[in-house]
Amino acid sequence: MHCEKNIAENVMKTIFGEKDTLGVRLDMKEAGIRKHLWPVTGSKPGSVILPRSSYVMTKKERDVFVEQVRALRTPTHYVGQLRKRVNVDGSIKGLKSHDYHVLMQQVLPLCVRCTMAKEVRTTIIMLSRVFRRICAKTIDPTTIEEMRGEAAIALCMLEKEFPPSFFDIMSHLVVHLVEEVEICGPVHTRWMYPIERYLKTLKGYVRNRARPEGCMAEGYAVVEALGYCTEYMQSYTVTTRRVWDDKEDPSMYDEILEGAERARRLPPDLQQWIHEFVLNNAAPLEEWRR
Amino acid sequence: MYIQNIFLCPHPMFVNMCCMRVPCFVSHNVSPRKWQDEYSPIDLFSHAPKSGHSSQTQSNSISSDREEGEDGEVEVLRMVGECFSKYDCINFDGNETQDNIHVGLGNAMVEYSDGEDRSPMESHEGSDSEKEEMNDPMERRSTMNMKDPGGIDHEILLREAGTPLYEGSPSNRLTSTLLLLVCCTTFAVPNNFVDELLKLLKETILPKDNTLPKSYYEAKCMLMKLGLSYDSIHACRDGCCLFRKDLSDAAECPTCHKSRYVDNSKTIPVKVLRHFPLIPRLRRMYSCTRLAELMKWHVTGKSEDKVMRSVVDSKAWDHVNNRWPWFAKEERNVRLGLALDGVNPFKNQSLSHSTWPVIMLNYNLPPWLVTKNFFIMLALIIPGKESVRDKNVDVYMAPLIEELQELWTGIDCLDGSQQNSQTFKLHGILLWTVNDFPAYGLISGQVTKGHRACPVCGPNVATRRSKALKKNVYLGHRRQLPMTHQWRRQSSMFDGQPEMRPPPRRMSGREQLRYANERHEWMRNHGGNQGGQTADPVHEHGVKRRTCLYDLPYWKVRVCNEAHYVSGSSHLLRYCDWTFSYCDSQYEISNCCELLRRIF
Repeated sequence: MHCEKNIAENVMKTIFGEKDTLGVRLDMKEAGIRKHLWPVTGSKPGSVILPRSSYVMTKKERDVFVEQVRALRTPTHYVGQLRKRVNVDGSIKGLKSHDYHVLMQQVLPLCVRCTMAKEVRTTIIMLSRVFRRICAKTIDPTTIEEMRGEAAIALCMLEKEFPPSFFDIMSHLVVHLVEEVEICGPVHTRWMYPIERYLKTLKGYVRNRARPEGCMAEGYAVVEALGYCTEYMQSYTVTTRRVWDDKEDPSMYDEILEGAERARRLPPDLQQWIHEFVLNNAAPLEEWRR
Repeated sequence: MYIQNIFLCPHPMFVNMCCMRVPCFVSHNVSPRKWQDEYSPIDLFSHAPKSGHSSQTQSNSISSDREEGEDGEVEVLRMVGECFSKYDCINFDGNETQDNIHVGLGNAMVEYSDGEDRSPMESHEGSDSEKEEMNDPMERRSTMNMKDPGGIDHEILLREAGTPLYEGSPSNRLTSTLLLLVCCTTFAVPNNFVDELLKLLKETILPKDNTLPKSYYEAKCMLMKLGLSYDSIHACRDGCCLFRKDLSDAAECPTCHKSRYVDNSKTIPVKVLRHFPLIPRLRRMYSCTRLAELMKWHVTGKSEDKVMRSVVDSKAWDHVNNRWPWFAKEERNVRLGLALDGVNPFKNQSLSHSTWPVIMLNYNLPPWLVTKNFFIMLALIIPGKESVRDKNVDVYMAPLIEELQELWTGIDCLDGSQQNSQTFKLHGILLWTVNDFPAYGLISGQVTKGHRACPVCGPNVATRRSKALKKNVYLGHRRQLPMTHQWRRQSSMFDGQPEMRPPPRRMSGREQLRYANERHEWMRNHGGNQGGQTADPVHEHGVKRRTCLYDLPYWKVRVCNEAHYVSGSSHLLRYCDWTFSYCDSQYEISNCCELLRRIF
């Protein structure tokens, strides 16, 4: 979770140019790599010019990117409202860690299309793909070797395209994340998301600011006792809610559509195109196509 | 269809209490059943078979049976029975009972705490003697008056259950309070509202002489008596020690000589560690029929097509099964995860206060329940205001580690899902821990920043110090590529050098222990207070100390990785020293040999 969030944050800052500072360029000079990006002295005395780098979006590309993020429509509760995180000046700020998760998995590969150089774009898409595989709900153990190779390649591509300053310890840990998936299985019960959520619950028990720990302990004890008591109150069906229930909350598995519905019609040519695509590619029609 | 024998008080909570060092009132034969098929989640817990008719008649027969020859004492119990009979249909099979009563109203004061580990069943075997005791009201009274060391006062409980809400009320005090609280809790209403609601009900809506608690506080106090308590352990101001065991009477810390109590006080402690005992909680879990069934989910839940869908299908899980077949044989044995993280309990981020809850995850449960609030067990609350540090995290974790050790050797536990509620030896293992990266460094005793920031690679991580950025950068990912990959030779696109080094070696559990010892030695020779100096071996290998997890007999483990990472499994991966050894040395060596054979 944190690893993914930190890397996504890092990527965003890098492509938005927030991390492309003089220090980064000097570091390249120090390491003796990418000569074309080294800072050069400007015409005015004391001024320094940083040559344009491929990993930073131009103003125009950035506008396209931000516009796409803003226009994104997702199922309800799929992600926090990303469009509200886009500021007037085109920066994206105040994302929560789950927003970064969705950003990394879905939004980035979608929105970087048509922006930046092809290599940089592919790198980001590749990285996103690695995280998508790590976070998959089901994992085929036979594909793990492939996953490991993919992670290595994605990191090498990053190394090629992004500045060295990008590589803090978090990016190194991606390799180990894959190993971890191999050993411990899917991440959904292993990552910090549920724990962080639970910490919020604990925090909610604090009523007396002078004794936060005591409040947490008491609150937990009460809810726990109540939970076990309700175990024996199964025949009370008057209230449907319980402290825990084996059944999911229906609002969680059914998508709730919000807003007034409006019928839309696809443009005829697009409709035609989709039809053809389906007919040409649907697996059950294989023998008819032959 | 099984017919169950519930002799007197049918409430399974008393069966629970049996596991919570309290008098054992009752046992019942619960039919083994496939809960998913036969029972909807709602009626899972009612111990009645589905046919309501027969249970009705049977419960009539029990009450008539009970009424003859019983006096006031039984009256109370009967009221409790009635109170809970709303939850659980009472069944009584007139033909079978006399032979099949398993636990009577008990002389079974089961002491788990005293280390003798007596089985609750052993202490009252023989149904005949029980029957006699059952029939002796005096005996029962003496048992009921016992107050268990856990603080659950049964007399109060029975009194609450026996108090009607008001004259002629169909409900009693306990039930109505519980229902109200459940409702308020599930909808997360403010405390003030609960206060107001109770006041309104008590003073305006219900008849004058009602017994409803008058405030949330009062209701809560009542409820707390039904649950398990927690231990408050006093701690030194700096976390040098916990005032328990030998130090339980000490007034100051033996190391730093700071007072245990706040100034000018002899009773108010400076710091209190809250410890929620894990073992009674697991026992209670097994005494609930539905939960006990859920705890065995991992047997049926294992995927059959080799695709990993949950942690149950993982290699680590299999490793535990292969390494300790005796552990795997008992499907009720628990596999736990430990999570440690800091939280600021205030909404105001500018107030620095860092409380560190330690949380246990129970991986026996189905994956959709593992992370539900109700199933997340709080184990410790490490108090702020300063956050936990390397030097004191082990101290705070000690009570939990001791419990885990005990759990590994096995504890007696009563299984509520089985017929006859038999006891069995419950074992538990800690599979891995779940942390963010800084907490990972804390709990694994390693460095998470600087030259040796990767806790998995340890001394083998490739890093470069950038003067311009004043930080370390971790390049060299080409080492992960196959040796023949063309990028390995392309220098200009990467860091200017061809990369021919093999992938970094993972630090094994044993290496980690060796490094930890080395550091310990060094610290001792240098007066213990020179950490961070240039000569400090921690700069070499990144291991600061031997973490308390190594006190667990099975944790000879390479803790692997990440912001969230793991402890172990057997399968050596690509590199010869990925030793996840839960290893005794024999095992590790044989494994390495095997690997070397494969590689060369």
